[in-house]
Amino acid sequence: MENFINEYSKILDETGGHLSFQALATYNNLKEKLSSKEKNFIESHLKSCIACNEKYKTVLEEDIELDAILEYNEIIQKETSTAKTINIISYWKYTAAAVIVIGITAVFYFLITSKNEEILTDKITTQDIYKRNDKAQADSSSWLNKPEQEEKIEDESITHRESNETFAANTVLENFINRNVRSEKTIEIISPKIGADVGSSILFKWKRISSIEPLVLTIVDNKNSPIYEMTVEGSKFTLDKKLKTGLYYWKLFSNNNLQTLGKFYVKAP
Amino acid sequence: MSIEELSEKYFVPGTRGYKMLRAYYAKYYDLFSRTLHHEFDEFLNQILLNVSTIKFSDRIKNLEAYIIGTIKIQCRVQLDRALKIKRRTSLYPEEKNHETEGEELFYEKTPSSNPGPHETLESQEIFQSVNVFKLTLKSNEVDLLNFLIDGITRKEIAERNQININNVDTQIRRLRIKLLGYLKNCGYSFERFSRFESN
Repeated sequence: MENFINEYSKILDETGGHLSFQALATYNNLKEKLSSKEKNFIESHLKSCIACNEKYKTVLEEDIELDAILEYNEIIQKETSTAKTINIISYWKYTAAAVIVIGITAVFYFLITSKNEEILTDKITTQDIYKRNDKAQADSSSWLNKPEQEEKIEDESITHRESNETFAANTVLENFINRNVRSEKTIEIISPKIGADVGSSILFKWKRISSIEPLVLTIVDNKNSPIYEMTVEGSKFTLDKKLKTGLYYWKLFSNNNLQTLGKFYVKAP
Repeated sequence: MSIEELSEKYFVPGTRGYKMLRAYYAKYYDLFSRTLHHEFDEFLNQILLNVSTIKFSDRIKNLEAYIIGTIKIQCRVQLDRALKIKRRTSLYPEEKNHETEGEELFYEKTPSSNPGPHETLESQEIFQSVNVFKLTLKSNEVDLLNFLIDGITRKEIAERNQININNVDTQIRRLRIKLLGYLKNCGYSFERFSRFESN
């Protein structure tokens, strides 16, 4: 190694020879790496040799041209990357703007629709109240007292009747219609049917399912005021007494226990 | 840096190195096409091969600048070789002039026991090779090599760096191994430098 370096140093001492392009390029591009002797090898020859000076100028000009190509390429690459960056930034800007616009539109939409719902709700409530008040005034009984499930309006005449006070249903008694008062079904009503119109002569007929003691038949008006009461034997009874028009209920008791309840209407002649 | 990485960064179309080489080859197209490299790809591949043999030090700052600088140097290496072939052949006998004669005289001065045509550019190739080799070294190794080139003794080196002379010997030994390995990778056979070692 040391012999090699020594011989190499001796070569560098001989500055009389012309310099090659690669030596000059090495000097120009790696000057900071050169040792003192290496720098002197180049510089001392350049001082004295015009030809090598021209060569060195050629190398310098070529390096400048090559650097210009590199810088131009770098500028092009930067512009391309900048353009790409701008495109990417523009893309995200437009995307963000679109998201914001959509978001604001959605917020306004929900605000407006929720207000409309409130308004509609208020209107319904108010209108509902008005309807209910009107109905309550038209009807003698309050609409709150009317049975909701069992009352079926099948006929206009019934509707008209119910609007009349004598035909108003008794909410308490209505609950016992078609219900077995006791757990065991003892009596089944045959006539008159529930809500039927009867004439001046009313036939009350029933079927005893189980044998029970004598029954007491009671007829009451829609205010549960007794109209007629009698003990009956068998399964039927005919009432010839003329009743006023209106709604009536009839009951069958056994040992003061209500067994069944029915209702009928007495229509106008 | 592997040859693949180097190629991808500097030697494929669109890269800075590629455009620079394209411009340089275009400038000396007539010379290159008649001597060394008939096509641009041959020129490009040769320089890629030469640069890839350099294992750049990890501690080099501004590595890209040194790679570009090395590419420029390798362009001139190809130029010198093309000029050498041109002179050897009789393609342009009329261009022989005083300048080329001066170069031939210089080349005859190179110390060699067996002077031949291969010796003509050897000295300056060594100059170029040794300095490109410095790119593979750490800064302290570069300093050590420069001290040796400048003729500074081992004792003085030890005193300057405030280290033991045995350490200097160890560092020199490691440097030798690196240098010979590098020169071998560059295609220089040990025999071409053995005369230096034997003297």
